[in-house]
Amino acid sequence: MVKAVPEPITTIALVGSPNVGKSVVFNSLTGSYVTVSNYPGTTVEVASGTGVIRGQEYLVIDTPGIYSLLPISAEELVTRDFLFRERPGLVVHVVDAKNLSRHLPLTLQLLEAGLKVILQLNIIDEASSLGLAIDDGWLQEHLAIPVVPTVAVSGQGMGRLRREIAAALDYWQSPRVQGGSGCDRCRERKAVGHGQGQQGAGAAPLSSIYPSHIVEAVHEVIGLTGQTLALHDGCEEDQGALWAQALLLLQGDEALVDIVRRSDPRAARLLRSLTGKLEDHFGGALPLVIAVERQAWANDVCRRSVFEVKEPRRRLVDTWGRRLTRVWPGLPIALLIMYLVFYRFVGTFGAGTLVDWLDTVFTAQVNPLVEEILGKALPWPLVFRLLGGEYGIITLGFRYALAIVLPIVGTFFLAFALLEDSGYLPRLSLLVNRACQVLGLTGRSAIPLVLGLGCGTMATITTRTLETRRERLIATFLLALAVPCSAQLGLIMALLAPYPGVLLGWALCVFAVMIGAGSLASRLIPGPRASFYMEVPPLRMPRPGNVIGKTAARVSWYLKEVLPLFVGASVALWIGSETGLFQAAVKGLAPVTAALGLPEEVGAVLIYGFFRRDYGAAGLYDMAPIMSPPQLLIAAVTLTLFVPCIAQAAVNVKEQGWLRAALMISFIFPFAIASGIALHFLMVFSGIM
Amino acid sequence: MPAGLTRLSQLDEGTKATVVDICATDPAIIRKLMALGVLPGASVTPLQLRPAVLCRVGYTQIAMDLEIANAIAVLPQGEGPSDREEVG
Repeated sequence: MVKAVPEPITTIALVGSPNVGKSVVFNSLTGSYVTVSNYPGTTVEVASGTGVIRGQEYLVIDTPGIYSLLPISAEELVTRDFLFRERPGLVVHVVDAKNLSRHLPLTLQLLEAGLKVILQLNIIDEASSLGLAIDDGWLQEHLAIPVVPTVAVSGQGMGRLRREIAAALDYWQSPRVQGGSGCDRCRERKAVGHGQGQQGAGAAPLSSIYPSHIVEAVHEVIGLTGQTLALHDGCEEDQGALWAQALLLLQGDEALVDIVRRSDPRAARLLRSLTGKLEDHFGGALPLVIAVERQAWANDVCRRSVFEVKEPRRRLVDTWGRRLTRVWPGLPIALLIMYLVFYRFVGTFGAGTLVDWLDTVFTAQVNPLVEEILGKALPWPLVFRLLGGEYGIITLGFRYALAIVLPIVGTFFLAFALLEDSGYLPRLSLLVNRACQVLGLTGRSAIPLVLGLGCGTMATITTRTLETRRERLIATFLLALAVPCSAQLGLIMALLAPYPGVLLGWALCVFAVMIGAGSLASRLIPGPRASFYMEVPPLRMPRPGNVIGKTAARVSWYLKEVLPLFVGASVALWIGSETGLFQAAVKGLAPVTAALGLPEEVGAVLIYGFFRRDYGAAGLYDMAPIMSPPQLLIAAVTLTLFVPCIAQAAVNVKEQGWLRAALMISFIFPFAIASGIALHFLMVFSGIM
Repeated sequence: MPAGLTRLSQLDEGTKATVVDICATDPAIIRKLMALGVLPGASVTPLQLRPAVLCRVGYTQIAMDLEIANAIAVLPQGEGPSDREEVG
């Protein structure tokens, strides 16, 4: 009986190191229906979308950046697993053309693994301005795979890429190439020609790159572990994958070695002794030996295809790029940038000008209109208050979200996207690396911490890019405790702008807490010290399309997350106020506000702060007229240190687990109040209050 | 120790050198450096050493802390005038 099996949709995987423009290529190849989801069993996100090329629909996957099939991080492991398990119909290896010799070893590994590869030489314009010319025709012939130079951001070469993709898939899926086999996945694998000595750089000739001892060892390892691994993958043995996996086993790949050890301890022991013998023979670690051989091959290929045809153009931006990483003028410039971005752009313009304008529109026009319409349409005062009263969903919730928070967050994300796209952030990381070490962090955490000045929730998610658990935990803790999000930041700056002394005092207090808490945490939290290493891309002119796209994506993410919470918060507060609970709670907080030296009404701000810190800051903004400058300082400091908003707390739980998240919150809450009280006593004691 | 062999962290800014070995005990560090192109045989030029090491490998710039730079054994190729110009 013949069962009608639907044609499985072919998968195209985009593979490459970070900073090569993979996401631009991804966006270009996929039209719509892009989803970002976690790779099963991990927290690593993989973007997938459908693309139509030459009328055929494909599934395009944007894999996490990878330098080699021997993974450095959890993200890289996901890419590796994906390639071996899902066996995409086609892999587009996106590389930075000017660094071809560094990327070719990965191309080699992909080919060794028996995958069907197209080499995309992206950012070819930068290679040209460096005076490089790449003979892609020769490369294509020598590697026997399609080689396409492109400038993905401008679209140059993308048409040809699409044609090559279609042509490659057409060829490999044509009936004469298809073999009959067992399961559907294997059918697809056979269809891309494994083990048939395909493409000149197929499995057989590739092995000549390695010394004979290694080749023999690989065959031995395949004999030992081939079945175990194939069984684990749930598929037939596949020559390419076996070869690649054997090489990985010899290099001590933890994940694979673990699989072998669990099913066949004897094979694991033999593997270890084999590796030991080889390392003795070569006098060095096998990963290094193998990497050197691959690099030698790659260098040889590049010698014959990449030519320096003219002197590199000395660009002003490169000279400046170099200056930015030195303490002078780098540090003053960094401070200047921070000042311009946060104080002037987000603070004065976003939180000042834009908020004033939007808030006036709301209070002068929208709110009265809403009250009038609702007053006429809804005779029930209760419901009226729900929507349009003091805590009304529209009059308070929407107003806060759209008129107060949105302009601030929007300006922040715009500025951040500009910094990001220009390539400045890695340079900032370099500058602050030493300082970060005091906190138990490395310069890489500068990025989530700076992003935390925009939105702590988003920044907490970004801590995933940090290398060690310890770093992730410390960064998450500091984000929850001491890094004010942009709404809070902007509002506090606008609030304290008339009192620059207070503003400075606030900044110093928060900064001191951050340093203190960070260094304490770094002493108390066990774990290896993270090392700092990072690729520093060239400084580039930010591209408007990219910047606006990223900003729009982040703002819409924020709105989707914020608006429901504000609505929820105003409903909760409405319930509280209708039942008298809210007023009772404010009264109940009177001892606390008294200890803080603040007027009783500010208790409301603390309660708002439970729902969202920025909500609380907005409430503080409204209440500013009744407080003196020292009181504003205490209120601002307490609120800044206060527990993170619901969304950030939720993400904390997701990233760190319930126990750690609960421990953090149960420390932060009393600590914030205690800090405020301490500040109060300090000021009374010194006669300021 | 063979004459001239030194560590990346000991080089003067702008001195082009060839990587001879990576003397790190932590395999993770070795992998990272490999991934960034710092391999025996690779040509590397430190552009600055403070506040963190920034060096050029091929057409890429790599940043690392002093500890990692300490683990990279190199052989200087002698001062190249073109590299000296590019520094700073």
